[in-house]
Amino acid sequence: MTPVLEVRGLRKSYGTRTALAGVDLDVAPGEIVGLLGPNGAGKTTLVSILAGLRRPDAGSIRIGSIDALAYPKQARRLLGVAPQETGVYPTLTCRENMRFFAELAGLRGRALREAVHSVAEALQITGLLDRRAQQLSGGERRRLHSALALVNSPPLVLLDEPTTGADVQARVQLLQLVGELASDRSAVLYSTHYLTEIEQLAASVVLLDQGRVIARGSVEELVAAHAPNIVEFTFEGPVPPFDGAWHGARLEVEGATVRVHTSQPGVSTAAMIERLGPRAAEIRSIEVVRPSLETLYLELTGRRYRQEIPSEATNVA
Amino acid sequence: MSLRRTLAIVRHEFRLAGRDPLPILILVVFPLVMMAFLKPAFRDVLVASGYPHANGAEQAVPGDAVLNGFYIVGMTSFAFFSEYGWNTWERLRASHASSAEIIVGKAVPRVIASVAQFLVVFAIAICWAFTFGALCRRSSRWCSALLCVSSCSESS
Repeated sequence: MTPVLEVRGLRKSYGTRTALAGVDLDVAPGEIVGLLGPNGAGKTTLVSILAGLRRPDAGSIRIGSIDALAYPKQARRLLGVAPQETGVYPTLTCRENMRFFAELAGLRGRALREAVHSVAEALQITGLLDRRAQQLSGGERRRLHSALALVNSPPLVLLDEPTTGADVQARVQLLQLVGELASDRSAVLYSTHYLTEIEQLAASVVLLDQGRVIARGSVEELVAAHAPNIVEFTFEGPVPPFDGAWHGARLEVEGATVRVHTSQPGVSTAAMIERLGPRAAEIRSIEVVRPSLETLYLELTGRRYRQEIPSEATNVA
Repeated sequence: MSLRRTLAIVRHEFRLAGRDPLPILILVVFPLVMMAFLKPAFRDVLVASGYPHANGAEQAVPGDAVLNGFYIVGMTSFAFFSEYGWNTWERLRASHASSAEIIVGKAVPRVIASVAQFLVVFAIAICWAFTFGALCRRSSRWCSALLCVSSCSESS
């Protein structure tokens, strides 16, 4: 399937700081891609470059079949963008805000009215259409902000942290609308810090860290490949000393808790109890934490920082 | 450049201006007030320059109109600045509109406002002249009106 978005070797630096260090990315029609990463990973820079707001230092971008760097104007016609900062015209009504961007996208007459109505309905701002944006609450304004990007149903939608500041209801509605867009064959690049949203959207994941894609795939694939099970042992008193081999498992001690990162939680639990001998009686609780997107995220991004900062993390071979 | 998109931006700018009309209204009314104050000073200058029948309106009217016209056109730059304040600038740049369409779309309403200001100022000055004879006393009224318009075009 021909991707709607094809990014190759994208690089961008601000002075001596590298924001993107060679990003490759494909997004297929109807695919929702969750763009994850810690602050400063390069997510917003990537979205800005894709939106044509910044020029990369190197690399190529194809949107549809258009070279977006050579023909940015044509490429923008295939895009809907909701930047990170809420951007609406405060003195205009929601309807006027939406109509303006729909008109710029070439809609008019009945098609324009229907587009405004359907997006407003999907984001539940129909009752607010004749209210000025400055009179809206923060969450309502955020919904309007997203609506402006979606009003012309573009083939590629870039949403940069769209649910920041939105209440639970607004978040659910937006996620639902994103899902509907994808089912209508629009590709969605969705940058967020809320990992549960990625799971709810059944999105594939691109994990950015320090300007590089460090993981790409479905949540299930990545969890299976990168995130181990964790067995948490909590003791009544001080944690007993551990030594010897743990079948490749990694041990992490924090207060009265020992976390064993393992692919075989049953085997590791049995081994721990056997090794503790009589001191096993000091165990207050044992919990098996199944891998999730959150543990995957921490495994892939958090570990890097833990390596830099001295801690009690231990690799037991 | 798409005429339809440019007109959409022009309409949008008029809408924005309509929600906050005070700056433009002030720049239309302000020269009328200033003319009343400046006319005697200009009269003295013109009389001293060898125009014994001048009453000051010959310079006060076009001079103030042009000066305030510049202020209105200067508001175009403020229109871009406002987009930054509202965080809509990046959104607008990422839209289907080209840079040229955005610039023309934002400039046209200010040019129209400037022309409207000229018309209002001259219309009021000429009406005043015809009604009260303040603009010209001895020369033809039509000639005075033409003089005002010609002074304006020379100044701009």
